[in-house]
Amino acid sequence: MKPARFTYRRMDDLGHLTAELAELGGDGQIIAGGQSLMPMLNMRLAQPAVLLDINRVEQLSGWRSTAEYIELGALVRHRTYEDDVDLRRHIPLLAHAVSNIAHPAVRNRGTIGGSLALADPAAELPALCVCLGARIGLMSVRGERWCEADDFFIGPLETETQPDEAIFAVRFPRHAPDERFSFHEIARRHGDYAAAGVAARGHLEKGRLTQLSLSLFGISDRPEKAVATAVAIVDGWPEITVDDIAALVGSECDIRGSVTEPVHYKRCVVAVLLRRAIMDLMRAGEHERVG
Amino acid sequence: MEASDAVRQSTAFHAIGQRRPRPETRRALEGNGRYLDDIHLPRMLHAAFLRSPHAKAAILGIDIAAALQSPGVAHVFVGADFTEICRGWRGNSAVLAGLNSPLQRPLAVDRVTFQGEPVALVLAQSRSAAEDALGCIEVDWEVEPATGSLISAATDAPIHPDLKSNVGFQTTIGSAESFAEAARQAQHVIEETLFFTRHTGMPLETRGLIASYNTSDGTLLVHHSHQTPNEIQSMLATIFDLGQHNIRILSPDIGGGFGIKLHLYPDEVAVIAASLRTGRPVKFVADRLESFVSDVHAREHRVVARIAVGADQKILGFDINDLCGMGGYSVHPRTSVAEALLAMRCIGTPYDFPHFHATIEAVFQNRPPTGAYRGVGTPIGCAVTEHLVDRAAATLGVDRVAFRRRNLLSSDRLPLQNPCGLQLFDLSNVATFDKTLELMQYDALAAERDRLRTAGIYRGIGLAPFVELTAPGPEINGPGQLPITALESAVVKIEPSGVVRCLVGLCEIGQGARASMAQVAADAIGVPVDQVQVMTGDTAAIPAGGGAWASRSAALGGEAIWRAGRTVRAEILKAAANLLQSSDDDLDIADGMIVDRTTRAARMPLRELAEIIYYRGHLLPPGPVPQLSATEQFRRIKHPFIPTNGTQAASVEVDIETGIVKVLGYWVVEDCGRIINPLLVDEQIRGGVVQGIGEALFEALHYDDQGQLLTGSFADYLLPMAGDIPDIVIGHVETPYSGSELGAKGVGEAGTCGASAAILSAVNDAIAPLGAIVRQLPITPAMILDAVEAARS
Repeated sequence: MKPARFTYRRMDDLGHLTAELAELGGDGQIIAGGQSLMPMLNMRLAQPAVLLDINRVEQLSGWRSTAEYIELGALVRHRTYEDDVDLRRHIPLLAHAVSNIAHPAVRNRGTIGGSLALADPAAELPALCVCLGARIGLMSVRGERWCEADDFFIGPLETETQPDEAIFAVRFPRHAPDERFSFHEIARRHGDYAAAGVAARGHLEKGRLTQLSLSLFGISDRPEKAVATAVAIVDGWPEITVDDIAALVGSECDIRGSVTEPVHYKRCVVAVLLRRAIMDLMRAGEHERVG
Repeated sequence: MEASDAVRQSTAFHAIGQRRPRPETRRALEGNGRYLDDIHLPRMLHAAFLRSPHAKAAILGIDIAAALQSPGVAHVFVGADFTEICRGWRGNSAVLAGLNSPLQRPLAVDRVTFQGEPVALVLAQSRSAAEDALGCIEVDWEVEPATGSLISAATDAPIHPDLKSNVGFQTTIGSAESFAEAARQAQHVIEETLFFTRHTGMPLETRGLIASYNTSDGTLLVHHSHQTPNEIQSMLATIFDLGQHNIRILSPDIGGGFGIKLHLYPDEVAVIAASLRTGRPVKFVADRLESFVSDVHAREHRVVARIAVGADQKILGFDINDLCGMGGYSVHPRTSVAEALLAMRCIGTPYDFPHFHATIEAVFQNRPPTGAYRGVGTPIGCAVTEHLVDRAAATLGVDRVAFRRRNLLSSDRLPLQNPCGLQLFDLSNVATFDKTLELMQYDALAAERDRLRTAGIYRGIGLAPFVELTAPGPEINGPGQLPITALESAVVKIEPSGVVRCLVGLCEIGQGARASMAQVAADAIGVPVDQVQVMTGDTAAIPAGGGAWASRSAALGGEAIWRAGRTVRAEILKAAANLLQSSDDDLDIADGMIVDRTTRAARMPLRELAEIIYYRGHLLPPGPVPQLSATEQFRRIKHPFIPTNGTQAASVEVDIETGIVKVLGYWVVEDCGRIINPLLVDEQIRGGVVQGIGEALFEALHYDDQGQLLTGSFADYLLPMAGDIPDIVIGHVETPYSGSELGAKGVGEAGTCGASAAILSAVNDAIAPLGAIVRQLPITPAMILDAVEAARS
C-alpha cells in the first residue's frame, strides 16, 4: 500500500495551476485535502504522473456573498460549513448536512472542490449542489465557465471537468425567505457514505408545496434530481404512499444495489426518506427546519 | 482447595484489586512505542508479496525477469525456491481423526486455492520499490471455477487434487439417542437455522516480522508481532530443521492480536526462508489490504439448531448441526475446526439440561483459512443457544426472563459434568443474571419499551448469559501432538536494588498482561507495584510458556508468578530472620519493608537486605546462601478448562422503515474470579463487547461466487466506531477459581462471547410485535426490512 512514483508540484496561484494542467494534458492530478485521493494513491487506484498541490493557492480559499449568490472557493474545508455562523445562515441545508460528511478529522482537511471533483454518488456535497441548484466554476487557460450541478455529475469520478480544467469555486443561489429545506440520510455507521439519502427544498403556499427540488443520492451512479418524482409527489400529496414513491423513484432512476443493500432495499428506503423530507417541508411554522 | 483458602486468608491483597493503568499506555500514546515497523536493522531488505488474484488456479509459469530489473530490487523468490529449505506443514491434529489438510508451503508452488495466497516474494531496498516490482511479475494462470459457498462445498469438486471431497472433518458430540429422548419428553421441539458470516479480528497493528539469519553461526533472530513466541520458535525449528536453540524470537510492542497473530502464516514463513536464502534481515509488515485476504478469517457457519422444551418450561435438550468453512487449508497449529468444536461444546452451557447431540461438518473452500479469533467458537454457541431460548419462550408463551431464570444452571448443582461433556464448577450463572437485571433496571426498561411500542417506536432488549472455557490445560492440545503448551512459567527474582524482576512465558499484546502480573508479584512478595518489572517475549530469556490466547494469562501465568513470588518471599524472610536474629514466622514483608509480623514495626528495608546479600555477603551468618530467585512452572491438570461466566444485555432501537439499528444501552456482569486489575478487566470486557457488536451488526467478509472478496477495505468492511457504541456498563461477581491459590480466571475474551447473542436477541425482541425474525449475522438493515416484509405477507 505505497503509492506509485509521482512528481509533486506545489501551485502558487490559479494561473500556475491552469498552466500546469494545460501542459500536462491529463497526466496531472490536483490534490487538495487528500482525504479520498491519498488512499487512492496508496492503493494505486490512482497513479498520476504529477500531483498538483493547490493548498497554498490563496484565490481558492474562503467564501463571499453577493446579492444573488454565495460563492465558496474550491479549498473551503467541510469544517467551515460547521463552524462559520454566517455561512450556516446563508446555506442552512449545507450547515445541517455537514455532520453526515465523514468525521471531524476528515472534515478538517476535506474540501468542497475535492468532494465535487470525485463525484461519489453517495457523497453529500454533490447531492446538495444538485438540490440547491448550485453552479460549479471551472477554470482553464481558456478562461472560466460555469456548469449547472445537475449537468456536472456524470458518474463516479466522472464530471464535466475537462482534463485542462480545475474546479475553482461553487456558487449557491441565495435562498428565498420562505424557502424550506430538509435533509435525510441513512448509513449503517454514522459518517459513512450514504446507503440512501435525500436533499429537498420547496415553498409552502397556502398549505401546498410548490417548487419542490430534490436530490437523491447513494442509490445510483450520480445524484438524481428526480424531477418527475418530485412533480408526482406534489400532485399526489398527501394520499401518495411510500410504495407509490418507491415505484416513482424506481422508474425514474437507475437504482444500483451494493453488497449488503440490494436494489429493492434502496428503492424502499429512499422512498421512506423522501416522505420524511416532504413531511418536514409541509410542517407549518418551521421555516428553519432542515431534517 | 482447603490449602488455597488458607493462603488467601493469610494474605492481604494490596496491589491485587487496584485499578491501575498499564505503564505501556503512556509510551504508546506519546509515540514512544517500539512496534515491529519501528525496528530497522543494518542491511535489511523489505518484502512484498505477489498474491493470487484468483481463488482457484493452476500456475503454469512465472516470469520474474522484469521484476529483477526493477529499481531497488535485490531478490525475487517463487515457490520452488523454498521447497528444499522448508519442509512445509499441515494443519492437522492427532486427535481430530479424518482431518487431512494438504501440505502447505510458504509460497504456492503449482496452484493456488484462495485469493490472497502468496505466490512470489520480492525483496527490495524499500517496501515501495518492492511493490513497484510486483507489477512486473508475469504469472501464466489457468483459472478454474472456485468453490466458495459453504452449502455447495461438500458436493463441489475437491479444491485440492489429493482430496476425495471438500468435507475435511466430521464429528459428533453427545448422541442422537440422547436428543431423541429429549424430543420424546418434549412439549415442543423448535428448529431454527442461523447463518454466521465470515469476519475477522482487525488488530490496529497488522501482522509483521523481521527475520535475520546469521550465516556465520547459523542462528535465526526473529522480531515478531506474534502472540506465542515459544510456539513459533518450536514450529520454525521443525519446518526448517534449524534446532530450536538456534532460533530466538523477540516480541516488540504488539498493537493487538485478537487471535489473528496466533497462527503459522505462509507469508511469514516465506520471509524467514528468504532471510535464510539471502543471509540478510528481511522485514515484512502486512498492509491492511493484504491483511484482509491473508489473515485468518473466522466464524463462517450455518447452524441448524433444535431445542426441546417440556410442559414444565424446562429445557430438555439441544440438537445442533454445524456446517462450517475452513477455507483453503486447515490452519496450523490450532486447526480450522477448533472453532466449531468450541461452538458446539458451548451450546446451552449456562443452563441445566439433560440431553445433547451435535454434529459438525467442516468443509474446504477456495477462501482464506479460518482460525481463532477472540472468543473462537463461544460467540457462535452463545448466539445459537440464546436464539433458541428466545424462540422456546415465545413458543411456550412465557416471559423470556422468567424462562431463562427457571433454566439457569444454579451454583448448588455444581460441580457437574454437563451433557456436552464439560466439567462445570465455580460458576455464578444466577448471580450474574440477577445482577445484570438490576444493573440495567430491567423492569423499567421493559416498561418503557412496551410504552414506546404504542407510539410506533420499536425497541428491544437482548439477554445473553454465557459460560466461556478459559485457560486450557494440557488435556486440550497435548493429545493432538501439537507444539502448544498449557504450561505457564515464571522466574521471579530480587535484584540488588531490591526491585523484583519477573520473566514470564505469557505475552503482552496490548491487553495489560505485564501490568497485572506486576500486581500479582507485588502482593506475592509484599512490595509496591512500581518496584516490580515484568519481562515477556524474548525466547532467549523467558521461561517456556504458552503466550497470549484462550484468556489464560491471569489464570495460568498469574498463578506461576504468585507461587514463584511466594517462594522468594519465604527465602527473604528466612534470610532476614537470620540477620535480625528473629524467626521467619515473626516477620512479614509489607510495602518493600521487612516488618515485625505482630507489631508491624519496620525492621529492615528489602533493598538493604538485597544489598547485603549481593554486595556484603561477609555479613551473612554461615549456611546456605539465600536464593533470591525462584522458578515456578504451573501446569494445571485437574480441570481441562476453567469455566468462566457472565451475563450480557443490550437495548436497541430498530427503525422499522429503514432497518437501521441503534444500540442504546449495554450491560455486562462478569465473573472472572479474582480480579487483579479492575481497570484492565473492564476495558478488556468493553473492547470485546465492541467486537461482538461488530460481529452482530457490521463486520462481514462477503465473497462473490468466484471467491473474490467484495468487502476488502475499511470502506466496505464496517468496523464499529465509537459513535455507534453506547456506554458499556459493567458489574462484577467474584467467584475465585477453586483450583489455584490466586483464584483468577480468564477474562480477555469475555466481552466477545455474549455480545453478538445479546444484540441478535435484542433486535428480534424489537421486531417481534411485527412477527418478524432475523436469523443471520451481521444483521443488515436490508435483512430487517425483508423480515418485516415477509412477516407482513
